[in-house]
Amino acid sequence: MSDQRPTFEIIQRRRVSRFFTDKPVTKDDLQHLIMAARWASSAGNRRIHKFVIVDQQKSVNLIRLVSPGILGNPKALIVICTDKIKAAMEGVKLDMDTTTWIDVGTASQNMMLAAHEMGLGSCPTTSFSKSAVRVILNLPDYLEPEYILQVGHPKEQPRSIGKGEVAKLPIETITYWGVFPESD
Amino acid sequence: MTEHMILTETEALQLLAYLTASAEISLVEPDLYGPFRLIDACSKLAERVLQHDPGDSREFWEEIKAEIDLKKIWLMSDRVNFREFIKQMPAKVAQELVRREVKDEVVK
Repeated sequence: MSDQRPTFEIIQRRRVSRFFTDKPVTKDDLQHLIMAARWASSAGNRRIHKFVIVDQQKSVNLIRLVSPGILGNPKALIVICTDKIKAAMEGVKLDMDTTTWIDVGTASQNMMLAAHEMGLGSCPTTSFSKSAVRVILNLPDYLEPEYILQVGHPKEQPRSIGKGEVAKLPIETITYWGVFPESD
Repeated sequence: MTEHMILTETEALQLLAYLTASAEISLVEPDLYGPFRLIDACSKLAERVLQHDPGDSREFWEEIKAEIDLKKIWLMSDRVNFREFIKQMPAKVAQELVRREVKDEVVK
């Protein structure tokens, strides 16, 4: 199987960056990331998510304080929020419909791949206090913060891997082809 | 040991923000993330202490912070050794407590 394909190469080379240099991320770069998110697949093309860009260091620092999942010093954050009004208009049952989470994931993955291609580092974050982030960003009630993408210029970080390193799983250990045989 | 040294109220508030957020997300995160959040809070505490010039204790705090920051991310790559690291950290802190007791006895 050949992996000499540009998209596949970006997928393979992207890594989570948790630590960043002091170099700021430009608004143009951040807008490009949102453009990448906008091109992500969305269940039923309903597009019920909004993106809050946080690039003022003061606000980034405040969100860090209530986000244990942010270990480093990102220069900007993109908060993906569910727009409850849009969801209602589209008939989405937020308490039951798990496709909304998939849409957060596809948008995030597009942004992370685009960031990598632009020479930026990124890190997904779900470990944060929603109630505290809501207060810090003064979010209106109809926007529910779901996910934070950390962005910055990646800093070289020595990898600390112990003896039992979790390696990439061999394809044959995660793949089944076709119909499962009848069990005895 | 610098007994006069304390966190500022702002620093305490920042730690409080981190700890309360950790408590909230621990309701839904995997069990092993609880120890991770606590040990990460220890690193943040050490960072604050170092900012207040701990005098001849500096080396201890620097070593503790460096070790935590190096090994805490084993949670994501090596859970066996992460557990061992978590188990060993209190002993290291206890050694420092004992060292100070002995030192204080000598001074008295």
